Amino acid sequence: MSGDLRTVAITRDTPVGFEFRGPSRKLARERVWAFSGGPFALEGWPKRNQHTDDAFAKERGLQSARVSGTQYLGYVCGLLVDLFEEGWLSAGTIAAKYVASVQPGDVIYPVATVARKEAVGDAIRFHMEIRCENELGQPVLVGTATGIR
Amino acid sequence: MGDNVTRSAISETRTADQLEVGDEFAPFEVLVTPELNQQYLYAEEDFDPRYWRSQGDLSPLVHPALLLHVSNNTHSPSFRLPRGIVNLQTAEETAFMSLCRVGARLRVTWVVVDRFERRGRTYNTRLARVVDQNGTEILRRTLTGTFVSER
Repeated sequence: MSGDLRTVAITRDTPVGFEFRGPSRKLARERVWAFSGGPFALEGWPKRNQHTDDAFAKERGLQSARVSGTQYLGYVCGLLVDLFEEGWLSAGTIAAKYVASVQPGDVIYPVATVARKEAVGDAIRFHMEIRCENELGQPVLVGTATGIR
Repeated sequence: MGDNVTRSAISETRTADQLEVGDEFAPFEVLVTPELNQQYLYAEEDFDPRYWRSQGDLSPLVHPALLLHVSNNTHSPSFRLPRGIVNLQTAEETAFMSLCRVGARLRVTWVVVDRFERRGRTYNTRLARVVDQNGTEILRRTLTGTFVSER
């Protein structure tokens, strides 16, 4: 089962096993620089670091620049805010492990699956399994999250 | 995500891989301007109006990716690594505590809460806390990472 966010939102009746997929996004260099390069107004932007600059990354032993995992963890957070509305930003939790590296240019999409439901007063706390996959369907981030509906 | 470690003085002299349990990084402060928030909307390709349109008298919400990013300890003014070493994030847990809106002045603090060896690598875990100008806790996050040279 899967749901298109534009037509399906999480409700109290959403069953265990239901999978929500957010939109795929290409981690273009410009977007990686915007995330990891410091404020646009910074002199010399983007700041050189292991995320923004291949030469910098190679100087430190990496094969090339790697995208900060926080950038695509943000994709999952965006998906969870879509599902649980703004309340997720004051009561939501998320835990993640980074299981593969991501390079600029990779395409990533977030997934959240209902793993368990728990009654909390009049509300339901959803326990979600989360992941990000690349365009080959390989997981690059896996974890869990909770949200209340 | 407990906060029961004994804190030591903020480390300004040691590199991040040398810090012990109780050591703190220097705090980081940032004013979330509309422009900064919108920079993250571009980075995240997430243009939901809740992040750029005011809601009555309320400013837009700060995107969660910005809140997560500023709580990476690489933002600390005291964060340093030895030459040839990179810090790789391996795992993390975050609890969002309060809504944060554009215009907030955030203060981020970090304390090392665990340090361990696994398969010959040193790992440490930091507790990050983000509070606004009123002292309201916005998020609490534990970050675990290691230090490697892939050469």
